[in-house]
Amino acid sequence: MQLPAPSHLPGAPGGLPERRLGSTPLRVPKPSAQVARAVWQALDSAAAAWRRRSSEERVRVLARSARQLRARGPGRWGEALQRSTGLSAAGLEAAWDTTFAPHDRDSLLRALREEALDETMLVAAAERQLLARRVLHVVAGNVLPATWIVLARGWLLGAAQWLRPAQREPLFAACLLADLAEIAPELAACTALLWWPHADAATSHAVVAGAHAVTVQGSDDGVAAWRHQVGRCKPAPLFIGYGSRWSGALVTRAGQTRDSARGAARDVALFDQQGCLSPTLLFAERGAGLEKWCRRLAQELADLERKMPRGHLGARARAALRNWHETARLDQAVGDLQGFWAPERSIAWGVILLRRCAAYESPLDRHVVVVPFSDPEEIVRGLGPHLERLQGLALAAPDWSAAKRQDVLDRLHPTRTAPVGSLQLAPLGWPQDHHPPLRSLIPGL
Amino acid sequence: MYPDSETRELDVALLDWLRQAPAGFVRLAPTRSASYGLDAARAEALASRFEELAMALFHYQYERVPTYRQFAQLLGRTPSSIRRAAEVPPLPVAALRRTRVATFPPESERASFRTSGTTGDPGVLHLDSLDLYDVSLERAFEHHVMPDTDRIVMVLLVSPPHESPHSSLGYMLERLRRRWGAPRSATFMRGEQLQWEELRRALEESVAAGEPVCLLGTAFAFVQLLDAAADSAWSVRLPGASRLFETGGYKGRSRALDRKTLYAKLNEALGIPVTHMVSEYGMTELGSQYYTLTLRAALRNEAIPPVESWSAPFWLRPRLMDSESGVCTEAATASAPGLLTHHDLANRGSVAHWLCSDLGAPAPPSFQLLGRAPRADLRGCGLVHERSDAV
Repeated sequence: MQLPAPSHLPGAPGGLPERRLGSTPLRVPKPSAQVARAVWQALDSAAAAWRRRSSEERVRVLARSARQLRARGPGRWGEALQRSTGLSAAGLEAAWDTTFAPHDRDSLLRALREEALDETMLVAAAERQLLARRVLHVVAGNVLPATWIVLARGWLLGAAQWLRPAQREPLFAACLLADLAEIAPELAACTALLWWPHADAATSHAVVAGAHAVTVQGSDDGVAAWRHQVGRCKPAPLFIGYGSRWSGALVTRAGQTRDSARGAARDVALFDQQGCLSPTLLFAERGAGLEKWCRRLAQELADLERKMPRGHLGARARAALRNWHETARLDQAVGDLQGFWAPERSIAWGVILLRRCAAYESPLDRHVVVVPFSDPEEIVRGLGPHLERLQGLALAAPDWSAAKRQDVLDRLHPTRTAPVGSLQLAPLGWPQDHHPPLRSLIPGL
Repeated sequence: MYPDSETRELDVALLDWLRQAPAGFVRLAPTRSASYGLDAARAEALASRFEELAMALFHYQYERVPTYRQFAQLLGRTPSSIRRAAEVPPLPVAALRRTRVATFPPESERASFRTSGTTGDPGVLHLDSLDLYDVSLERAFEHHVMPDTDRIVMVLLVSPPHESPHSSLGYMLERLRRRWGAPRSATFMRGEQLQWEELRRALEESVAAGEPVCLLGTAFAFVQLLDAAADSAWSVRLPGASRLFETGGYKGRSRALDRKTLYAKLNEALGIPVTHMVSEYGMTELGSQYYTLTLRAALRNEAIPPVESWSAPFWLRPRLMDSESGVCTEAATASAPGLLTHHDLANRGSVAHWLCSDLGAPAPPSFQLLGRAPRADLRGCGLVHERSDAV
């Protein structure tokens, strides 16, 4: 099986100098500024043809592509993607499915509607050059949707796109584009893919110089470094940064059911809890049934470990998890924890129940912290500045009125809410990091 | 001094044993007993005594340290349920930041040492006696650093004790200075700043007098020395038999050099052969320390082993905790890297078996240090950490 190279450069001449990608035996070309310009031009021309289609038609192609990709599954890329994502076979299947499932026709149309982008406006934006027509994406390697969702937004608007995958997981984008070349060549034609080392300022400059907008996902330091680099280009492209975030769930007393335990466990286990929509803190209302609900959650995580085992971890990561387990036992011994559930002689997952409403670190990899609360205000007080970085909040609050729910959400201010069990199924219109998902690429509007 | 007879009897037994048991490897051999230079009968007798004393200490500490008792109970390991020293549960060192871990009441406290707080708030180690600490320190230091001499000019690169009364390293080096330091031994740090001119004069005087020197300090202090020497375009060739004792750790205070580079640069600046540089690995939580065998090997004209394998006194037993199961096994015979635990019979006043957050790998007859295993591996999106490799 031939692995797709982490480079897809429509319009580039052959014979580009190559280099290895990290420790994986993949060779990627090193384009000059001239080649980067040629690639952008080729992408531009393909994107112009794609933009001439109506938004309805673009939605149709995108929805069909998502449907077909979902139906294909990781298939021929399975083994390679397991290695590069670190997920188990079943984990990869679930991750792949979750990546494409939310993007049907209705969801895409809703995304346009929610930002009041009708056909007339989109045509005008393109004609009056209000749209960022060339977008560079620097994506994170922790979850698959991070790649798909930024590309899908650009495709929907008709932008030419260049994507730099993460060194940690460079293959998914390559597999995606190889599949798209077969099922939607018009999308692959207006998309380039190239990995290059972050320290390679010449390549960064060559690619950034041709872009109208740059989106960057990553650590706050990484995003800041890119912001600085992009800002040095004249004229500087629009910069959209997606920094470090965390997610949680909020479960009221009436919401502490078997179903919500199952749903929360699934939200946690997907992508092995590596995504910014992976819950790490579960806020659960105090009550007589709370410990029982934690036990159920633990059982569901144990069940998922059988059906969809966590991926392989290296020695250092496993030692870090063991350290967390032992320290949690210590915290239990000194009375900080009300409960701690973990498998016998394993670090496959863990659930701790705190005594008080406060922040507590999760090492991820299917380890959750249940934070008790009596009043939502306690969460605001207990979490303090951490709430500024809240991304998603899964909800199981059947006993709360719509008004109460809204009041709490206004105070916690997540960028996405969803019923427990579907937090990871983020639609394209999700305002990640509070950025308008589509309008942020139309700065002139 | 002793509030009760049980403590007195235990200390007497431990002190007696620490004075007799081997203070370190004599060479690096495939097995521990061969590394200690022991025949089978003597090795078995010593191992058996280690077991007895370790179990006695566990009973004692289980009864007297509430946090340890609760921790052990949560793991289902109580004096009635365990039979071997390897089953004694190691307490995470974070316990010192959470609570008082001591076998005695506060009024019996004689000394307290603060941990560095590298990974969080500092913790405190409380001691009601320094007798075991001192015996362990002096025997192991003599074995690894001073096997060939009784006196040497000691050049200490740590703050003087009055500046850092709760520094275990400060206490330790001052103790060594009093025991082995020839006249003109002194400390050359004030408030973590190297007193370069004074140090330079002292080293030049030693050269003029032909007196060997033993420099003792942290890697952080030695980097300061190198920087100062480079700024002054200064170097020296210290008299033969000079040596250097380095205890690792930069703690974010200076540029960090890997040990090989650090030693090569120190050799250039001071003229001390790399074979005469001894590394120490220890922590505030422990009453005993690990050492490299480089100097002993050099004195015996033996080859320096290519793989780092730390020598320990017989009363300090390194183990590796299997990351999956949490089971501890002898470091030398473990099958994979894991968190390091240290079972130190010089720790009577706190707990004897500590779990630290350093990752180790088996390297018979002992272990190799692989650096820290952070509490959270920085891979994904979490509450208090960031995606490390995203861009």
